Amino acid sequence: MVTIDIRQLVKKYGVQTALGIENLQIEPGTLTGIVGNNGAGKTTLLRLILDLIKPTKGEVCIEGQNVSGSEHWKSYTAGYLDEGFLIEFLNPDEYFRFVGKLHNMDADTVRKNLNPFIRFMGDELLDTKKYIRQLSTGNKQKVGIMAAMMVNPGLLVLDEPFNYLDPSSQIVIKRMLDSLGKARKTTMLVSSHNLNHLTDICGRVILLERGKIIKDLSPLRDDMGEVERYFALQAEG
Amino acid sequence: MQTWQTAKTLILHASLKLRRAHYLGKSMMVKAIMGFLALILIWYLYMLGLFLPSLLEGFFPEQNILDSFFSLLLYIYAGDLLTRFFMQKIPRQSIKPYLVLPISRKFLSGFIVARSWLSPLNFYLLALLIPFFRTMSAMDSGYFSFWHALAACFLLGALNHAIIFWLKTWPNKWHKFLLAAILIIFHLGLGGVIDRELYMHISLHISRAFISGHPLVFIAIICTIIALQLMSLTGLRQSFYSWAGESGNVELTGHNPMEKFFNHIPVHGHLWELEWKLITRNKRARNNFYQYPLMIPLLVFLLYNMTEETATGMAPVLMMFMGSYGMYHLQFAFSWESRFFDLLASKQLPMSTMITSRYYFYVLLAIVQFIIMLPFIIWINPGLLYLLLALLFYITGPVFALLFYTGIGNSTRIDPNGQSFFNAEGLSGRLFITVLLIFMSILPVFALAVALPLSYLQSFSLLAGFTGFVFMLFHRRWIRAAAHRFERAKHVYLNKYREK
Repeated sequence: MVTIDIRQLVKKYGVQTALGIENLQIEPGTLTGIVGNNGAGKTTLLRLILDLIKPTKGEVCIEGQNVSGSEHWKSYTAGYLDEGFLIEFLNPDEYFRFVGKLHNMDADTVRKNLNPFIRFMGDELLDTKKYIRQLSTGNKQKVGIMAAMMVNPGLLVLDEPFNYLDPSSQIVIKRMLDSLGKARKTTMLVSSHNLNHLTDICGRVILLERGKIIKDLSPLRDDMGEVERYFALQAEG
Repeated sequence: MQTWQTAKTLILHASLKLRRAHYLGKSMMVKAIMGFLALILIWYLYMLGLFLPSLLEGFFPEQNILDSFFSLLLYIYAGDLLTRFFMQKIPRQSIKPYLVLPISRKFLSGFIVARSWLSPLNFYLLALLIPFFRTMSAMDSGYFSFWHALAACFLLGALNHAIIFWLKTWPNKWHKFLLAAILIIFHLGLGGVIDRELYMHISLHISRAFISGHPLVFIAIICTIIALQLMSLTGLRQSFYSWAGESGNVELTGHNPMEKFFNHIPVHGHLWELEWKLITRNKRARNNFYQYPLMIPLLVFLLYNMTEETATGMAPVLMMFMGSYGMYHLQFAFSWESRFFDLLASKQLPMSTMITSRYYFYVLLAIVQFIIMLPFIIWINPGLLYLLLALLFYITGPVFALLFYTGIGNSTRIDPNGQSFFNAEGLSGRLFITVLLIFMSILPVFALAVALPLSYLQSFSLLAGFTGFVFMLFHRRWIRAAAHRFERAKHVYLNKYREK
């Protein structure tokens, strides 16, 4: 069960502040959704959590350890943010095996862990000899998500996982996330543009706008219509 | 759209592609270096053309200058053919989006063939030939005609262009590699090793036929060029299907015994497997890797013409052979992985482990390539064995260390599956300085070798080999330093590797 603590986190590009979060704590074993318009800072936040960019100020701690100071958190963390996480000249099977090996999993374990995804994969991905670069965008997305989930991580970070997926796959992925949380108590952070997807599965939804947290809600407790009204107002300008 | 308008649009797009090319969008320093290098090359050729008469007189005192030049003409065009084989490319990438537009394939293939004639490779030799021919016509040597000679040389260049274009547009890749290998081996074998006299004799007679202005010779060459271009048009139209990614031509994963072998090696195996796949499954990386064996005939040629006295002076050139593919690939160290570096950086994979694995991989590759070259070295010039072995140590020692250490600063994004042979994306001022440093790093060895009480070749070999051995022995130290350097500025480099 993994906790994330974010303190005084600021990320600036030149004079422009892309993200500014005073304090944020992600409770262990929860599924937290991050929602916001384009440029709200969702991906920046996830990149900072995975230590892929350096904060201008502040820190991100996973299990009390600053992500920049230690790499131990990587052994129980998995993420998929974009195609940059895929090795395009491998086929999916080889990619899964490679990622599995980095998490000390042998080929049989990788196979076993991929079994629950068989319906999600469909015929196109199962035992295909095609390179990842030759897959459709949706299938690439599936490969990235599966590779992140199959290692049974303590912390799972996914950026816009529902993009490019067909409706059935979106439902499957929501179920998979739900069962991963229940079975493994995995702490999960999922970003999306689509509020409905997040309210379906998340115990907590954080609304980001221009790098700031403007709402921190629980779909079970709060009125999510408030967030919808906020986006409607934004759309009207 | 009318034909002329379509052609105009395609020309405009080609010019936009060039002007907006990644490598031209780089820093002023890179542009200045590229411009400077191009000018230096032209200037060098021009000066060579001016001084060629006196150089030829010195080398072949018993022969007429023009006869000497024409005896060497086939060598010049054999070199040109080799250069074109590696450098001349077909603008297939830029044409792909047009295949789905209402433009006829016949028109597109014609456009590509016509555009290919604007390649600088068709003109660079004129910088050498014009000053030389002008000097010769001023000397008024009997049978010589400036315009005949220039037309002849242009036609020989055009023939090379047509041969290479045909080879590269023909859909059957094995056939083109085979033919290219035969052409190269014929030139290098006959001209360099087997029968030099006969080769020069053929060259002289072909050139005389041209200079005499006999129309049949010109017609024969022009007809060959036209035939090759017509075959290229057919080949291009067939190649369009594979360029468009027709399902029948999709690359599929094979069962590679090397990959299976790597898979069984503990600790480094899976990273070696990844490196092997990176090299062999990506067009740009693969082309360079598979073209490396073609350098063996070139090494044979060098070894044949080298003495123990001249060999040390050629050490910087020999370094490229001994460094094998690793010396080329590692110049862009870490840029090859730029497209998936985020994945590696988010995994528990210490940088030092990654560098160590890659270092061992390229050392092994260099050893394997050395073993392949060994029979040729022993057969042709065994006196140079120790020098070459010493250079192998030197490259896999300090040179690889330098490449890994400075490569951290490369931070350019490379598409390993890109089309071009010339790696424009990886070009940078830093890379230029790195390569310069590599070649200059051997200078102290040159200087210190004088002080040892042995022959110069022995001293040089001993020092170069010893330096390499020390770096190999203490590789863990410099790898640690390189890894530490990367981790210190990890976020800066990772950010640069990402798509802008």
